[in-house]
Amino acid sequence: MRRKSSVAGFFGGSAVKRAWRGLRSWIPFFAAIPFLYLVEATLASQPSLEYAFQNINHIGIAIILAVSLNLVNGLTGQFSIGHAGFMAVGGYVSAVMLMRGPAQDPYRLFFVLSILAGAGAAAVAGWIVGKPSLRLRGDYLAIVTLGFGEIIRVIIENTPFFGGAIGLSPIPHRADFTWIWATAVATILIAKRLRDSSHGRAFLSVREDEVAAEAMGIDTTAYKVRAFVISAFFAGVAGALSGAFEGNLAPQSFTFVRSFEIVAMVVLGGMGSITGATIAASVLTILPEYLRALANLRMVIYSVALVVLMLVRPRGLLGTTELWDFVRRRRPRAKGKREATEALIDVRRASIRFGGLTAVSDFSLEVRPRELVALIGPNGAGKTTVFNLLTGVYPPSDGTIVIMGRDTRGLQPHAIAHLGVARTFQNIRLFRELSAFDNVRIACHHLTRESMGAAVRHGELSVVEERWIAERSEELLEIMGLSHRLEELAKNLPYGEQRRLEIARALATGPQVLLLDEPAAGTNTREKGELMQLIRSIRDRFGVAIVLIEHDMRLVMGVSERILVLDHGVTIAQGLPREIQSNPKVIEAYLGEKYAKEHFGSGAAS
Amino acid sequence: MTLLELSNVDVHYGAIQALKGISFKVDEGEIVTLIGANGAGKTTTLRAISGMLKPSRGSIKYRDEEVSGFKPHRLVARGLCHAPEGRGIFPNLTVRENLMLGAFLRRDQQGIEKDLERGFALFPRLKEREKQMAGTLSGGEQQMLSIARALMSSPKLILLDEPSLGLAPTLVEAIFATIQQINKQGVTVLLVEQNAHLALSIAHHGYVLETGSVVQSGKGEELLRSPDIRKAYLGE
Repeated sequence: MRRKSSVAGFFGGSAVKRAWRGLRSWIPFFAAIPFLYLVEATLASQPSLEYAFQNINHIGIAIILAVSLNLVNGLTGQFSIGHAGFMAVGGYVSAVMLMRGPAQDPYRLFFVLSILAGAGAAAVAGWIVGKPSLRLRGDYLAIVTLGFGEIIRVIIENTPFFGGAIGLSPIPHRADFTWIWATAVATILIAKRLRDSSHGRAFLSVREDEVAAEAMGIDTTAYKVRAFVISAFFAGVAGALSGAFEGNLAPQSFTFVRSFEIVAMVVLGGMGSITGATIAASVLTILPEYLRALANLRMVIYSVALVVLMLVRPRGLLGTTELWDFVRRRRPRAKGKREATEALIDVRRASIRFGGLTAVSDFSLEVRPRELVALIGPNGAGKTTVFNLLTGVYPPSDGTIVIMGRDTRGLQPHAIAHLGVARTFQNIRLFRELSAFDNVRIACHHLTRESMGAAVRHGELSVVEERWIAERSEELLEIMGLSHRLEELAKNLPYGEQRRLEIARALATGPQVLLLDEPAAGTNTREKGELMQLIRSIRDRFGVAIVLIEHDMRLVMGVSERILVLDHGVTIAQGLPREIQSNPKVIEAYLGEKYAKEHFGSGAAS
Repeated sequence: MTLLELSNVDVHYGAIQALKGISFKVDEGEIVTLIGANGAGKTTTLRAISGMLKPSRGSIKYRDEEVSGFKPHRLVARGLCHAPEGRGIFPNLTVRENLMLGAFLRRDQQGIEKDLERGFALFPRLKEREKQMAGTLSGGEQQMLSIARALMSSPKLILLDEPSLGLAPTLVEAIFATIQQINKQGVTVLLVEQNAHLALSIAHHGYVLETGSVVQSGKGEELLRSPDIRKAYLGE
């Protein structure tokens, strides 16, 4: 298997080369430090520039906040409005340490320690808040984070240890221009690394379509929590820097208004764009400062400017594009293939009820390796519901579903995808705002081993895996005849190609069973003939078993070895294609007298 | 009389040109079908006509009025209704509420009731599920709802995008019979359909699209007999 060889390549490389690879990607960071230091040494001490530098430092802190919140609100598509709360946690923990710590801090090691402690505390708070609330979908997170931010502020205001309403002061001045901006550069780098890695695509898939992401084997809850915790961590860093720069902390600076300002930066920047968040953080920090001369009108103009900017650019300053999208345009490359094994799906007398309605009752199905099975029946008979049972979208009310020898009771869809079941969706659930290439790459994610840390370090393992994912994805797109659409957004593909992209994406998860829900819908007669060939060749090439839901009888009768017929959730017939064609029950419930006569030459029960 | 006429219409998706100077016309009382491979621009054409997309060039005339760039709701008010691909139903409203929204601009209570009954007669399945949330319907049932809802606006011209998509063979026959029936009642139909055989067999006129342009046109039965068409789209 290719994955093994990628790992072998990793351990085979020399240690020096590996270390160099890891370091090389951090060159921008290390290059930035002497530059920042030089700027500070020559310019910051000039009294005329004091005010300017103060603003520049505020911008640096705002960038850390906006870029980190962008990870949650932009990339992962959740809505958090409690960023100021995490900032406060980080700021206060760090400040308390600094005020009680040693008076002298050579190399500011203690300061670094205090930042890490503050950020760590914020991350823990993020985990506590995020773990229960991110399981839910929709707007719950917004309300929970809003509440969290306010609770933190109220606690601080009423705790003498944290200085109460007056705040903490004086906090030793440890953060200056170099520290703040080096951290801002590091934050941007880390965010970019995450965004460009397989993990970053997992974040995006959650934003685009959670159901599809689960079906591709991505643990959506875990990824939401990860994004949230990382984001809280950096908010904590920003809080610690802010306290050590200003020399004081007051609870009034951490109201929900502050949180909303950060949200505004992310939205204005363009949801998901790191460059956009950076620019918006700068603009929105500097704007009120330069409007200060206008006194009371200041906030009015600020608000109007915000409204106008959003009207002019409703998708944010940069939409989802990045600065570096314009600079480089290269794709990593590589290769891969998987083998299938035995014993696949075994459903025994499964039923599911929704309220009083029994959608599927007493359903049994065994799928053996490399089999081609079709599931047909009238509209609303429960065919798609069977797929939803097999993939864990719904648990069965009765009966058992065993996949690869494992009872799937209690398993989430992503876990079932890991067992080797992949599906396409009848109503097409592609990640619409992502390219065809990225859609397939996301589906490769659960086959990779790189940690988030490796992705951030850009170590060799992650480079090799990226190449492997890219080559595998290109190959699959080629097989599905989509090579010419690689960089096109999924939503811009014609209907039939979207269906083929769904198949490519499903295959990328490395399944042993492929569930196809109406793959021929929206294709013409000639294309249906091609699809028939394609389904057979997928079976032969990938060694997968295929279960097919389809209304095109030529396709169904042409490819399937065995057919099950559902009507009102009940299996009314099963057997070989020619048996089904002449089965009177099937003709009555589904095919229709006329159709059966014209196409199969078989009349009703005569 | 010409009801709808497109002249040299271009549509772009970003940098990609999806339609390249499309021209055709639909006479009142006709069934006209657009056929072509995936990606030929059929859906894009319908979306441009119903105002969901803005053409970058060319003119779209509906009842002698230039409507290119009109918002969809203005066109619905003029009797042009689109049952889109991908259904676009309201998942958290009941089947009945979905249908009533189709009649949003109408004030003739009796006519609405009559059309509602017609819809239920056409799709008895929808009657069974009248009070169910549309989101709980199966894919094929949602397709039925989409067509039934389009008919509720009492259109003069209806654009149907793949009405047979995801429907059982019996229902496909029923849908096409209905299309002919509503056409006889005076509704003009512009039909996009992958099942070219069925579409051409009920259409008065057909246009063949290839990569964003009209490459062939003619009477339905003529196209059905054309060897090129049979080879390219009927799988022979």
